[in-house]
Amino acid sequence: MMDTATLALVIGGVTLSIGLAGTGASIGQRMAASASSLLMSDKPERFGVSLILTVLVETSAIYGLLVSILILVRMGDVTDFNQGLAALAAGLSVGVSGFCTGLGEGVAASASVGAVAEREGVFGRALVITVLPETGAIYGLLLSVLILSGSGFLGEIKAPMAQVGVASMYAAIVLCITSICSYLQGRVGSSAITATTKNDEAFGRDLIFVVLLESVLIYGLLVSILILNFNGVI
Amino acid sequence: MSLLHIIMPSRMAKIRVMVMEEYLENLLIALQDLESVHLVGVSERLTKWESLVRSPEPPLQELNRWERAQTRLATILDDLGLDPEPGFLDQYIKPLDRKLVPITHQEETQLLGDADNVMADIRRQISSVVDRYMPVREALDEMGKHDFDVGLIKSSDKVSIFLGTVASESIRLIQRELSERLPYTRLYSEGNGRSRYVVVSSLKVHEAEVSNILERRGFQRIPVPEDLVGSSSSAIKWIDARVSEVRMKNEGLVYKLSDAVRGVLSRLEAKEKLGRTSEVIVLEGWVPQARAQETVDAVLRASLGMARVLVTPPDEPEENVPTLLGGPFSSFSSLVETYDVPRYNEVDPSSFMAFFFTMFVGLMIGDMALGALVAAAGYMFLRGAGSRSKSMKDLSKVIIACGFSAILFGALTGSFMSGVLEEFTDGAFKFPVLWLSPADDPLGFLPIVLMIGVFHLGVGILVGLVNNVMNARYRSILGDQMSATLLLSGAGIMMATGQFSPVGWGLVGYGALASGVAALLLGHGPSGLLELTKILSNIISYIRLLALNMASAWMGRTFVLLSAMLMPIAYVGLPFAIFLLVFSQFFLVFISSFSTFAHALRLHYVEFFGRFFMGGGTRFKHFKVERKYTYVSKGEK
Repeated sequence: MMDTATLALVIGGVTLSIGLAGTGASIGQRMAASASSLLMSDKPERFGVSLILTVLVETSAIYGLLVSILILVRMGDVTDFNQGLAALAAGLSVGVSGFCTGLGEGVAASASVGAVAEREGVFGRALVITVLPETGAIYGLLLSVLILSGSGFLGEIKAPMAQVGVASMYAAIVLCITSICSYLQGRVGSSAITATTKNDEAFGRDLIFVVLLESVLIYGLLVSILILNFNGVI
Repeated sequence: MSLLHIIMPSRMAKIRVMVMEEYLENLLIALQDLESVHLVGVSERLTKWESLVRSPEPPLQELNRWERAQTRLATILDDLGLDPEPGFLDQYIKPLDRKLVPITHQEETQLLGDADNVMADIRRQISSVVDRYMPVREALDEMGKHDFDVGLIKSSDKVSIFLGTVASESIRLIQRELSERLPYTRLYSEGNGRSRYVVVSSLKVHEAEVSNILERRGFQRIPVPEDLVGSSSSAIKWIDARVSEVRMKNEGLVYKLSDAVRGVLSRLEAKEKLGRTSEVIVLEGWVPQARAQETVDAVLRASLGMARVLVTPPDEPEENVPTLLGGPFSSFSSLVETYDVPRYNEVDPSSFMAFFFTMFVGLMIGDMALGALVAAAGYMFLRGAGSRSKSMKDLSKVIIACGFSAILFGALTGSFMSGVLEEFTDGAFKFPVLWLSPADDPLGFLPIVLMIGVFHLGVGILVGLVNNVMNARYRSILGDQMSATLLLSGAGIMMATGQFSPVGWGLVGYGALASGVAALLLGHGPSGLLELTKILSNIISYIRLLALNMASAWMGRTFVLLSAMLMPIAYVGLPFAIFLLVFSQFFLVFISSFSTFAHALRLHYVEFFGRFFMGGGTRFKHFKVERKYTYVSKGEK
């Protein structure tokens, strides 16, 4: 039987997961959708490509929804407070990273819609730059799944309960802080898309600048995985 | 086919032709048919022969004439509806229903000679039918639900009917004025936008007054031809039949002339690149070595032997030689060129991309059913969009390959429709996991994707080594390839043996790492140390292969779970569950395909190409006619 504090943490994980990721995706999608609807008045034939760019922003919300459902399906098996903490950490991880990704992808997608309005030929390049900030949400999802695997939601518990809860929470916090890179990546990405529209040859070099920001996120993920690993959670 | 043909851009030869001016047109037509030459301008590089070679005068008058002809033909095509824009989905999945028309060069020459008369004649026919009937046809079509006698619009003893357009904001004012002042008057309007189609009926005695009111409000009357009779629906059919007659009578001619004009314009543009004396023309270009002899033969045939042809190996700086990506994996070349065009003396990464890109997408989708759907979508694109453009044809082939790869990885990981059979048979039927299931054992799969990353980067380093050797940049080898190889080997040895302390294999690992750092410092100076973080982030970036597979698998499983929850509901449970399952597969294909394609591209553009790609090459531009409607009959070429 779950106590109230544990239940609050588990439900908190579910809420943060879809709530934050969904909010980020909605704000991002609003940016892309506004740009797309402006484009429709001038170039309705570009509906398909602008729809794709707008829909892609939603991916982080889907990741949030996924983790919410994964927690909800197994919440009946939760017995320990630390498992609740792990559920909260999983929700926080995908939620915050999804939020930042949503914002970053929104900025990049609205610039991409503008670029496609100017030249439909840049769609492939714009698509690649638009999804670059998604790396944050992907890593957030990965960390959530790793936390859920080590805390009895998706696999067996291998470490002492206290370590499972505390290590999961701090691993999530590290990734959450570094997730800001995804938003900043979107900002740089929008400049890169504009540059690519003007000069095709700029694409390769611009891509490097956008990806440079990702290094910090990767270090964050690495440290998060090490926190889980050194504490025997995974 | 040798390895060189697979990994390098097509080897080029310089072709120089001197030909008597009278054979020039024939020669250019032959080269257009052959599509093997990339023409370059010769005039600016012949300055020291200025006294001998006069620079070509751009045939501006001719160019203007044929550009005008092209515009006129575009209008004719539009008026006759001969090249309609396909709908949004149709352009991707509906095969082109128009068949290409065969034509001979002789026929083209005759047509071009008589082009003005031909176009004037077609224009006359269009005026007599399209211009005459189409405005009223459009109005009748828009007023479709008000099926009235068209004859009444022209004359009647008792009633008057007006057909025309008016600004939408005036409609209410007209309506009010008519109803207040004239009994038995009716107004019907249809359409959206600022201007609307309007039909007004009134008693004959009020005709002048109605006409006055309408004119004041900006009503534009649409004239109805005398011979148009019957109900509006039958009038529409009659007009369509007449237009169809004109269309069928002229379509072949219009198609042939359109392509012939396109050919003339391409030849005129080519003529601007030629050098010439008073009688001799000098032409210069690049030709793939494999097609050089064929091109020489064609030149000699077209000039009846009155040409001097020189074919030599490239004798210019690399940046002047165009890059043609061919080989057996040319479908992937467009993905490479989206990034940048490789230089002539640079490895063509298309073949590596064919293997790794397909593998990555397959691994990230990793489901037999989704893979089958992706392959089916690729086949539909191949038949639809592939029949319209070569780039879409190439992309469709890539999609099909990725679909089959996803089926393969789905089979290896035992995933079919995210485990639907297992869920609905209570575990009685389950596809066996032949390898590992990333969704069930993410930690087991994590080292595998990292190793795939190391292998991918290793291939990139090897390609970089080949590039540096071919371009004689030996100093770069130390800082770029040797350092990266030592660093990757050191990390690999320690990870594979689990020995992180400086003894035994651990010592070897640390030795390799230290040598790698030394090579970096020697090759790039202190700034080379940034490479350490770059390699680390490059390797970790491949985790996305696992994360996207898991995301797709767990999304699918969630849908399966929701379907299973719907099943027990009486009567509606089963159909809803089936609907949800089918919907989920299409949803996953849509979301997964774009995401996985974009991330697989990113792994190539950022991580893989970052190890070797130089870029900045010139794309090989085939001298040819972009034929849209015709093909040159066999035997003519």
